Amino acid sequence: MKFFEIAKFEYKKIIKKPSFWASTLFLPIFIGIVGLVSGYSSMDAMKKMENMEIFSKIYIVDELDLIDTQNLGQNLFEIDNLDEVKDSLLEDSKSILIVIPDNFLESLRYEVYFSEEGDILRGANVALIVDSLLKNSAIQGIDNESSRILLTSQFNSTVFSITDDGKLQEEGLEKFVLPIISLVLFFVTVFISSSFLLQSVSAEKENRMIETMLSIVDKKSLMIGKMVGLICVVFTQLVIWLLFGILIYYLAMSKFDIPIPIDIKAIDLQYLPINLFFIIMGFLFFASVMTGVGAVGTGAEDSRNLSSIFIILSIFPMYLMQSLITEPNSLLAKIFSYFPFTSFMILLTRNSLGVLSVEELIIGIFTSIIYVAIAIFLASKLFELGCLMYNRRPTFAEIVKYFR
Amino acid sequence: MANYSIHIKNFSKSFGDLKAVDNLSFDVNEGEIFAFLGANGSGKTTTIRCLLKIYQPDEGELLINNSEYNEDFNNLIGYLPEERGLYRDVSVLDILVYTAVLRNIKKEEALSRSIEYLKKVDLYDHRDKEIAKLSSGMQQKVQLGTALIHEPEILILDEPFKGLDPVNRQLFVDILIERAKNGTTILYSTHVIDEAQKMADTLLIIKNGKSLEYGNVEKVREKYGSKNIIIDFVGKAPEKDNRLYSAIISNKRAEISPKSNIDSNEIIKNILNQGVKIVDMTLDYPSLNQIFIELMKK
Repeated sequence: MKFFEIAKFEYKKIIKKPSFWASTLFLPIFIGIVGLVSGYSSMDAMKKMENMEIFSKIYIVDELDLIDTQNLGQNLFEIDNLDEVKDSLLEDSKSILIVIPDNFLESLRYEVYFSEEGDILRGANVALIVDSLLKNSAIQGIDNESSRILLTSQFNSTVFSITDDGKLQEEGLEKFVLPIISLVLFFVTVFISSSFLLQSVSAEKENRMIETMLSIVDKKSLMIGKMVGLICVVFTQLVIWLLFGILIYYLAMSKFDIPIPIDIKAIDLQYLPINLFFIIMGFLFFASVMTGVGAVGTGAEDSRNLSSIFIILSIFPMYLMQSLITEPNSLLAKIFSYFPFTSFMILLTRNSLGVLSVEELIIGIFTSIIYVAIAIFLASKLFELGCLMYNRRPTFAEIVKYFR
Repeated sequence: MANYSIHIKNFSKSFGDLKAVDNLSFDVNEGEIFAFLGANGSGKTTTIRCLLKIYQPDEGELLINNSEYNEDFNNLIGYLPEERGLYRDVSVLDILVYTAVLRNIKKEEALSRSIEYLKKVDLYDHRDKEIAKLSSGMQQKVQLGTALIHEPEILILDEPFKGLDPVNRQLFVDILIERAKNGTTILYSTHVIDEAQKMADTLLIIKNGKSLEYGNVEKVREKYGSKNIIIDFVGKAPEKDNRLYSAIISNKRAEISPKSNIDSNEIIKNILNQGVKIVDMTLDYPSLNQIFIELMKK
């Protein structure tokens, strides 16, 4: 049970650090603040747009009489030409002039005028105003109710897929929820905790604490204890982020009433257990790699440098993600499903999309276990060899000789 | 079977082409203080690490209480490694309690032992400080505490006096002598010879992994020839080497080793004739320091 004491100590050591709380709280607070600010500003902008408050005055020269004057609000004024309002535009930088020229129906091009001091970005909103004014005016002339609905509505679809046994299955964005959540879990669990482990092992070596520890506990307990302690740290982080996520979600919903096009009850969780298996295997694999690297490096910085090659290999599937989602059974996806550093993430994504055949799943589980076993064996050997080698790395020849 | 706490027989270990230890044999008896002496790189640390199975020996028998080292001995042994250090971001008290708890001591007991130790080494007021904020001498005291906290039967200390000032060195010597009086067997390696002469019962001197001298400290000193003369002087120092003697001189004290068949009276006359003013004079065997230096020169 010594590994339990080690896990507890490692956990408390990190949890007590202000830097842990700073990094844990900073991310959700940052996301929350950014979300609230952007949500609030976009809502505010939408309201202003609806009320056309973004401009103090909108002057319109309509040479074709396309705009129905009944559509003009209180800050919209129809005039005859530019000269009539030039001074007003110069005096008030929030006012604009829109000119619908007499060749508009051929060119489909209108003109916008505002003072030099005016905000050019505001001009982008003019398109919406012109579009709304022209289309609303055009629809006024249509008597057929169906045509009016067709021209004024936004369309939505319900997508069904036909399963192998002939059943219809409703498809929606819910399909992508599990892969996304699984990938986030994978990233947080695997990469954050294995980088904690890398830091911990290399710092222990750098601090020269490792020999003292090895006189008290065996290598296996030390490694397992560290892994368990650090996965608990990551779990704590996940729980905190989840709580913040729920809080932000409810805050945002109550404040802004944002429509979310996902039916939470429709998320299919049947692939979750296998996903969790791949996450755990991925964690064990990368944790072992980082333990080996941490033990071989001369110190924290050297170990970080050494680990970069493995980190690049492990995040490689991210570059394939788009093609992986559109073509999850492509040859590339199948090849990288069985390459040690990429297999966990790719199998996880393909499993979430429900495209792994039973044979592939069995082979994937089998190869994952083999890769993890090899990684643990190599890591423990490298740990034995490197942990007491101070101020230098073992040479390649030394490693080969040690493994013999 | 004899009451050997540690028994090493025909032990050898190589690293590549380098033979770090060559056919070494010695015993550390129960309750004695054993000084393991040798210059840097002589094989002391390798021997200790093989004894504790941190390294695997190539040949030989390395036994602790008649068995090879295994994890069960962790509660029996206190080990202070040569390459030492502590978690830098953990408090003094936490690190002592942690190492004690790992040795199966209950938390309350671990806490009270830690506090008692910290009071003894004058670190109680620093108990909540992070290790990184302590001086290196203070860190050494904490490190020794991690080896002593479980009151081990056997203490294995690799260069325990390394980097210590004279006050802390004396404190360590006192602590170790007190432990030995309570029956703890102590094996310690060092190249600081003065402490070995003060506290060790038995010694082993090694060079290039080979044993040069082994036995009871006083007997080893006796073996190395006629009695030495220690003189304290003021003013001019005596010659370091002449036809009658060779001397080690430090701080107005000369440790004079007569050359073969030279009478000590003749040497004193010679020194007085040099104009040296002798304040005090005692006869002694050659110091361990002298023996060590002589052996290392060979």
